[in-house]
Amino acid sequence: MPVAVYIPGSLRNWFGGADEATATGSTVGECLADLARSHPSFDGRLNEPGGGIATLLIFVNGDNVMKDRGLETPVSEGDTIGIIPLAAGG
Amino acid sequence: MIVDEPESHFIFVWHPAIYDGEPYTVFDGKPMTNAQVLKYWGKWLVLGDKPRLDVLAARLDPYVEARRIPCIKYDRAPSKNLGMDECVMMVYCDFRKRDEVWAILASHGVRLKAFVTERETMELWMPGGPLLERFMEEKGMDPATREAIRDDARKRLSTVFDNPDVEFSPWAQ
Repeated sequence: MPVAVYIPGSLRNWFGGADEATATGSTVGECLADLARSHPSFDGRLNEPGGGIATLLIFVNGDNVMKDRGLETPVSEGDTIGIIPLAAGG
Repeated sequence: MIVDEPESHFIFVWHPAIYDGEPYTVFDGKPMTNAQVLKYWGKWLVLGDKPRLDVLAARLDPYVEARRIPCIKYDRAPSKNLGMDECVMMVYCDFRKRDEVWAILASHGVRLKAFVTERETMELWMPGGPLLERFMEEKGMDPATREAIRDDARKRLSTVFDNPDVEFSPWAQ
């Protein structure tokens, strides 16, 4: 199911300059994989040395997914995903 | 009131009484303990360039004055040593009131919804935490300095984690 993904300015170059994208999946991990397929720069960032999910904070409806089930956190239609750099959480 | 003192990395939005020393970690009129802060206190994060955050701060100031938002701080400049290239605004509130505060932010155009608790932030800055370790790496610190900084962080955080019933006292910034 499609969910809206919001992206801050510092990460928009991974998404062709967009501040919003749509991803499909039933979990956060599936949505990120879908985003990576449609946005090669994001895919490259996730797979480069020193990059990856550990450099990001991912939120579903405002909640950090690491407090829930991480990438297995379920998403439903109407949910929103937010992605920010880890450093912004400090 | 917006407190913009050039020697500080942060620009703050305070209620005048809080600027004068009243605690801001308060729930139902009572100052919160360390345990309550660890359980409930946090912030909505808003990322953007400084001009955008300046405008947003001015729009949110009346809500701080009305005590609908406890306080706000944001970067004067991006924290380059942490790899950031935009500023971060932290709109503080109790978890139990975060939906009310989010409604205010959303009414001013904020769409990316990211709430981080103080406990999560402290865990990022604990000895071995990813932000503390990255900060020291970026600064090129030698092993002895790193250990001294870890020890300092350990002591600072232990004042919160090891004294749950003591009234929370924020660090100077």
